[in-house]
Amino acid sequence: MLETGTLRKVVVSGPWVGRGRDSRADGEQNDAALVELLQRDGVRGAAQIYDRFATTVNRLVWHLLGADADHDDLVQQVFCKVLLHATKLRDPSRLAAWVQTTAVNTVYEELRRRQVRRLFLREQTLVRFHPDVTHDVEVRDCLRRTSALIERLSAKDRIVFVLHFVEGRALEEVAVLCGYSLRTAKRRLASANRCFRKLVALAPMLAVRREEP
Amino acid sequence: MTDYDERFGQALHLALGDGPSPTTVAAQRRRLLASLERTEPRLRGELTPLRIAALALAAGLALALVLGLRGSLRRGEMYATWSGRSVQGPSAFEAAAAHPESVDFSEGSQLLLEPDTRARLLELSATKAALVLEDGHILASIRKHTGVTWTIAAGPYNVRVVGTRFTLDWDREKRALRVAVREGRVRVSGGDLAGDGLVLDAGSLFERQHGSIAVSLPQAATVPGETSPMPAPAAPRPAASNSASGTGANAPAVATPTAAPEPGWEALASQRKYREALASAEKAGFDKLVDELSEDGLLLLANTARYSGNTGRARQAQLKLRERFAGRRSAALAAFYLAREALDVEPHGAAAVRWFETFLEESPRGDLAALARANLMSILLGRGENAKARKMAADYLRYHPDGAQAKEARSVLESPASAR
Repeated sequence: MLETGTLRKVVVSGPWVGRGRDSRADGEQNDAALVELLQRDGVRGAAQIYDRFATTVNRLVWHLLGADADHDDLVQQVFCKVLLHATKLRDPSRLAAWVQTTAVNTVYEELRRRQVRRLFLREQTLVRFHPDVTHDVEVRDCLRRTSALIERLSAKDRIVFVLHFVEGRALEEVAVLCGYSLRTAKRRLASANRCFRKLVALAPMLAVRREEP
Repeated sequence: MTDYDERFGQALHLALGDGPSPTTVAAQRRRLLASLERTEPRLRGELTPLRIAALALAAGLALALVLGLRGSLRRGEMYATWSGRSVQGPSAFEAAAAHPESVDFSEGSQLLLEPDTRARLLELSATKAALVLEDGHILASIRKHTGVTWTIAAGPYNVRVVGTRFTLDWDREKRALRVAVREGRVRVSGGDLAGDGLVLDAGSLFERQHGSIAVSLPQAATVPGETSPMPAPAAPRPAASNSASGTGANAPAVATPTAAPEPGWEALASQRKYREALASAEKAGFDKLVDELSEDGLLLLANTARYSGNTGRARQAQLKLRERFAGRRSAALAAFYLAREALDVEPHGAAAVRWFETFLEESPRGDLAALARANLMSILLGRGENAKARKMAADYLRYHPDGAQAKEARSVLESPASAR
């Protein structure tokens, strides 16, 4: 799962699916209608799909990528993929879940690309925040430190870690979003925890904070 | 550990927030829909497989363009930073009553809005920046040779800027305009100025009060071939209420005293009648006032002197602020203004460096810190103190990674010349 360059068609299931966090009660019906509209009238359908999922996609990308300066480009990529492939969905009522999976996959691909660039091109990238990030220097410093820590997790570990601890999603939900079995998701989270523990031990400022009540 | 992970996650969520601002989301929407309209005008019909393929191709190209040319596209974009927010379209700026705030532009220009100043950004593009000063005082540093045409409107007047540093004051109530050019050249037009208006060179001070005499133009100049440096006023003027001053760029026009009982200098200053306020303060004994006033009162007096153009008195009050209220925010602010004034006297002088450094020591994370660091970086480079300039560039990136001068700071750090 989460293979670079592939857009997966996920068979989604679970109690949360189809009722995305910001979806309405009749979300599934609306989603199917949205896909139909996209087929009929591309531009109007695109606008409505954007309005329906802008909050969800923005929040996901914002958290997974850490309010990165490239946030807007990534969101654009997610919506390009969604608009290109939504009409091919086998079950259009699952649009909400599929959009979220697409967002997760797009961020994963970006993280992988960055890791490769760092590894082979020795490209040292400064953490650059989106202009909308708070102006408060102390909060920014804190974000910088935490981002530097999370950057050191593998892309897969990072995504599971952020979805679970920052987004507050249940492991079942994380598993479906990433296309893992529940068991794999648990294993991945345990691996992320282990790495994180090691990194925190090496980061004195965060280690001190850990002792705080 | 999991408990710590959870707390870490919650703290990170709190720091990050729930996503970008609604303005950003609206801009994303516009951009997405515009790219769809551009790439596939026939998209309004049914999405046939052929059209989907065409859309895929077009979107792929658009994506490649976004990814491949992102750097160059960004270079072409122009944006401003206000209170930590990125601004690209029409916006309103209002500085708080207590302290000044700056607007930083991505091509390197800066506007410092003095307390209680209101301005609006009308247009911002790679070639044009248009603002309106609704009321208050602006200290402008406009970059030269960036290809951007700058205009700042104030009431009926228009100030067209070519790379320069100047101050612009507009009193909406009194309809009084004041332009003091420190560097470069500006053209003032509109209002009761005839034709193309007036060109002001460095050192010029232009004051105009619509409907009454309040003009002093010590060193106004015209561009070659132009005549009539001071066009005749469009309307007949009433008897002089203020005297015109022709004694020097920094000499203020002093209010003529009237027989009626005068309000105190503070009341006049709060009505933005700065020259009258300073005259009143002089009458009450300026030297005594600087020794006795409260912190806020002394800051107001320093600002009054500054706005009325009396740099000597402004400096005296600012130094007294630092002496009497050391360690307070107003003392740090005084250091900032002392640095700006030193910069006006000597662009790469040691005094400006000293005062900016003092300000940053006392207010390393204040609202004006980005502006001070950018100024300091530029002065140090001008002085050939490359090591210190590099340190300042590193500080700038640490404290203001998304600041308007971040690109310049990076180029200072990467430049082999500055490493020597």
